[in-house]
Amino acid sequence: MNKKKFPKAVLRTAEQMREAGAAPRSESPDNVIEMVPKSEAAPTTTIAAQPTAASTDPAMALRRRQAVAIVERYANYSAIGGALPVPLANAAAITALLVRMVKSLSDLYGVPFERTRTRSIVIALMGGALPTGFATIATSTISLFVPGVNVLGLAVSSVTSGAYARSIGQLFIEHFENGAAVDFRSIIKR
Amino acid sequence: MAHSIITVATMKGGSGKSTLASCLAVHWQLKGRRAAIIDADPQSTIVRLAAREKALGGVPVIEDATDDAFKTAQRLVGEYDTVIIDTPGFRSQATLACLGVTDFVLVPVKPSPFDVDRMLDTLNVLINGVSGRRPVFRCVLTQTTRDSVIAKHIRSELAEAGFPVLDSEMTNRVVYAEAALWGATPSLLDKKSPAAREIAAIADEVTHICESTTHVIRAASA
Repeated sequence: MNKKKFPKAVLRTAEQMREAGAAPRSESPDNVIEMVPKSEAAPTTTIAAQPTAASTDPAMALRRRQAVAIVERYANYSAIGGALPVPLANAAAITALLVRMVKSLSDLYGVPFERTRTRSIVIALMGGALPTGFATIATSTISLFVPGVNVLGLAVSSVTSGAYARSIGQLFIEHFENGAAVDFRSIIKR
Repeated sequence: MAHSIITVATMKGGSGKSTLASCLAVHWQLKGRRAAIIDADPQSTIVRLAAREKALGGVPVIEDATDDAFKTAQRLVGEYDTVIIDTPGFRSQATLACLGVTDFVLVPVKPSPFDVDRMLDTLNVLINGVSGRRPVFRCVLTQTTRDSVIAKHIRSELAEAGFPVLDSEMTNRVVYAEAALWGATPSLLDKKSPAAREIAAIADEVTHICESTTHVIRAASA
């Protein structure tokens, strides 16, 4: 019918609305910051705005968004790193990636960065603070030695590394949000 | 469609609610039906319109921008054949209350993504029910450029997504603003003008839908 080709104008269908009930749209793009949580979600109940540090200052909210974006990016990198088919080398690669991630984060938050210290924190987090997670990584890395199950090993290793980067990144974001430098003890305590 | 309440509602401002409401009321009045308008919009567009020379051809306009506008509608519907409620162009308790008592909802929408997006919020309310009711509704395209590709595009997408749209639409015409200068609508100035014919077509569709739904409701309760 149309000579011109247009993108979609109607982004929701009646069916989706029925399924979702009166729930509001949850996803918002990275460059949109909500200063006040939408009160339209529940017209019958009143939702009191919960002002946190991040939601009261748009600059901080934006910085947090950027930080989360950095962590997401590195999580994807380390998922690829985790798929390296060389045992142990992939763990080293991921450590290096995580150190770089922390550097990006500390640049973003304007916190001085110390490579050696960060590396020891990252290794400590991978090993000591989260033993079950480490076991998974260790297992998936070791499974690379076993001939025949390599594909499975790679998949598991890739997924766990991604998850790792995400949780460690989150930890550092919280840490920097609270205005601290790269300090060994306060991070390990979490 | 004796004694029905029709609400013109969308949370998007500038979509043509007041124009549509006043045009329909005047059209029905000219056809010999007793019609009244409740202006629940704090902008008082229709009240101001009625203050001009032709005073909307004598259609009674009741100004009630309070949360109780729906009660006014319920009170009036016995005296008039059709009570049309013009609602504010933003989310309000008054609008929600009116949607809870209305027989039919007209949702005007301009063929632009800004308007469609916001209108979908209104449709979401209608689809998921207001005060336990799911009023019958129809979208109606307003301020369209005749035969424009975008209007056709949006019309077909709305239909595809499961949102009912009236076949008739309100084309963008200067006569609406010109008539408003007189406190009139196109039907009042010239019954045979293209704009008046479009209004008549919309009114006929609405009448038809209201009659058939009343019929269904009566059959169900019988």
